[in-house]
Amino acid sequence: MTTREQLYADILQEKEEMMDQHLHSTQRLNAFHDEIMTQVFSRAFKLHEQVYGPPPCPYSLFLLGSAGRFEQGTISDQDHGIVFQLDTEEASTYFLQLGQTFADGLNEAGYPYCEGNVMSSNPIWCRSAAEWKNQISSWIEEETLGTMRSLHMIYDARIFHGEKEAVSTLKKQVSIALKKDAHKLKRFFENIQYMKKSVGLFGQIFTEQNGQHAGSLNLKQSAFLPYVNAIRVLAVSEGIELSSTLNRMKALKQVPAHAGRIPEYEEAFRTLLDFRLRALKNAPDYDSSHYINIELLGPIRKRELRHILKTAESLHHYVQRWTTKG
Amino acid sequence: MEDMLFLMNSLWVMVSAILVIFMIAGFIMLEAGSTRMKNAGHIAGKTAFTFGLASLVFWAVGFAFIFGDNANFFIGLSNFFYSGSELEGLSLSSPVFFLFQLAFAGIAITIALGGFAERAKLSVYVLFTILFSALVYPVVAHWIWGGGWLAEHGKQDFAGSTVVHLTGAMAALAATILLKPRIGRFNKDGSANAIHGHNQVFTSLGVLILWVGWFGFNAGSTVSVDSGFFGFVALNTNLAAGAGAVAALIISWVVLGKSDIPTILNGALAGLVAITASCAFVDTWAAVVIGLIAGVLVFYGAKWMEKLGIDDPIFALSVHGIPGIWGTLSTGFFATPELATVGKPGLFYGGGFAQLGVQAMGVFVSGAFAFIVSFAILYVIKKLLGGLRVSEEEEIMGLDISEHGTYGYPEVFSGTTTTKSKTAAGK
Repeated sequence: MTTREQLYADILQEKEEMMDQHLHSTQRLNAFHDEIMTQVFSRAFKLHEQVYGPPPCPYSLFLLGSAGRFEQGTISDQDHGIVFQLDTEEASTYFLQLGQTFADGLNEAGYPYCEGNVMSSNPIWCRSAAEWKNQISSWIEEETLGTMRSLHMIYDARIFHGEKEAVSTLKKQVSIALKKDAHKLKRFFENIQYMKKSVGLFGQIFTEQNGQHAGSLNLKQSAFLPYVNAIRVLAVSEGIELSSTLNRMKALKQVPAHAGRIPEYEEAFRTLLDFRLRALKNAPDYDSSHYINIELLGPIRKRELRHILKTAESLHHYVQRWTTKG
Repeated sequence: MEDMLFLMNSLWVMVSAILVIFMIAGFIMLEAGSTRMKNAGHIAGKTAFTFGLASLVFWAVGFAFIFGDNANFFIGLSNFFYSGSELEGLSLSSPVFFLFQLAFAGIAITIALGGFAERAKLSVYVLFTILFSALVYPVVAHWIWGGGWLAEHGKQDFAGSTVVHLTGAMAALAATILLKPRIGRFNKDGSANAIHGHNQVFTSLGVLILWVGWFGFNAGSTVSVDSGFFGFVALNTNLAAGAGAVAALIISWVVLGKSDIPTILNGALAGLVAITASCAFVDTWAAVVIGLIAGVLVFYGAKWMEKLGIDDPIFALSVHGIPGIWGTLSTGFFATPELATVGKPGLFYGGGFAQLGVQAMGVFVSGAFAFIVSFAILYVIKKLLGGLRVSEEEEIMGLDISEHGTYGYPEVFSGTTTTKSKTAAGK
């Protein structure tokens, strides 16, 4: 009898062998991830179908987090959800089980389980369309940091398998509710308000003080996430349903209110993506891939980095003003 | 009237002695808070114990070596096993004076033992306490306070930036070099990991107890109530502590992007250490400047130690060593003509480089002596005991259980040991 590990071993092997050839651009790398995850899904689906039969109704499987935004690095954990049409107990059991099989498959193919349990094996992220509607309304209603966090998550959803429309409906629900209620939009921003200061008064870059990454900057925390989060807030407020940060920026440039500001942010973000890709190429392991050693940068690269960080701060303030002016 | 002054002096210095002895409580809180839970009981208990042991050594030989008659270059040679009798030439009760001096010796060894934290065998603490209190501290104290050659030279060290703090710190340096860093402090590539203390509230309370105790340490060092001068000394002491904390907050905020609590606390202590030498010789504005500089020095001092690969677990070197040196040198800059009752005025008061030179020489010789002799003592102990350090396994399980058999925090650790043994048994 074959164990489950062996069912995905060839996919894992392919992923590991081919990864290096796809490090030229974030775009290429993410297309490659999609390819691998598609293979995992079709195998997981076959396994599932053998036991549980065909799906009881149409459904959409969507990716969340960095995969949703098409911004994965070489290694990242899995985040995904399912929305299905039929609001029955039977359908719920069926898709939760499918979600579990998919999650197991991804884990074995080198996409570790999500620590926050944002996976379609979790009833919170695997619901009928009707339940999703109620869920999102109550998230908006409750407006705690936790439920706002979930709205941030869902807004990064990208269709992976099935009908695009179902995911679009969820996003519309979020953006319509936040657009018409300035207070809710402010709460939505407050969820990402904390930003670790990374450039000092004298232009000094604050690096890690201890451990193996002492002297390095955590690029993900200090630069990447601030851009992603702030742009997501603007996207929601303008009803832009696109998931990737660059695409959101492109769309925001068409909005007269933001057209003047976005090009500056976009340029800095592109430089950041380039920085990140270089870090990924040179990193000995996943953990190190987030870090950039400041001392090893030449004066030009250092200036670029400082510009990226300062621009992130400026974007953050811009979005803060935008959400608080009501 | 003279009787009255004698009684008042005795009373004031007795109060000061109590304050200085109470500083041991500050060190207990500071050291236990700055280290890990698994060593807390050990650190707290041994600190009380070594003060007791150092007291006996001071009574037997320490006092005699510092203040005894028939002195040679290194030490005095009378009043061994001090009887409590009144000594000539003192304007206060001699047993009170003895107790006050004993308290200082106790502080010096406590600082020294800070460098041993979280890895030295208990037996090393015992042996080193005896030998340091007999052979290291009394010599430096004799040179500067006991009428020795540095006293004659005009060295200014009012309450012991050099005698107590630097001497203690140099012994801590010798110890930390011979003991080597704690497991996990440095990575193979030389980068350092922070080993955070387990309770910043303890550490802060420790600092405040030390701060209050310092009024005994510095203001008490007037050993007299004459013209209420102790008030001025206390004023300078407090200003320097405050300035040290402020400077440390600012420098850590600017450099790290966040103000760092251990740095702020160390800044207050650094200000106190630095003003210890100069508190009676400088104006209030100079006390502020001395404190501010100490607060910056302590921040970079800790970083420097880390760069050198030296594990300074409770900042004995960066708090007592570097600010101790700075404080001693500071009178060479800031001592005023009116206040320089010992030595000469400083560079900024037209005294030229003369006093600065005296201070520099004194600090260098005292520091070198303390380091070399402490190193030699520890080297001999190392050979004698087959090592200064507990085994790797003992260090990992913690000194509470390995050296004493009980935990300072039994509820935290006993549970896990039981579970572990159960699991092991289950297998």
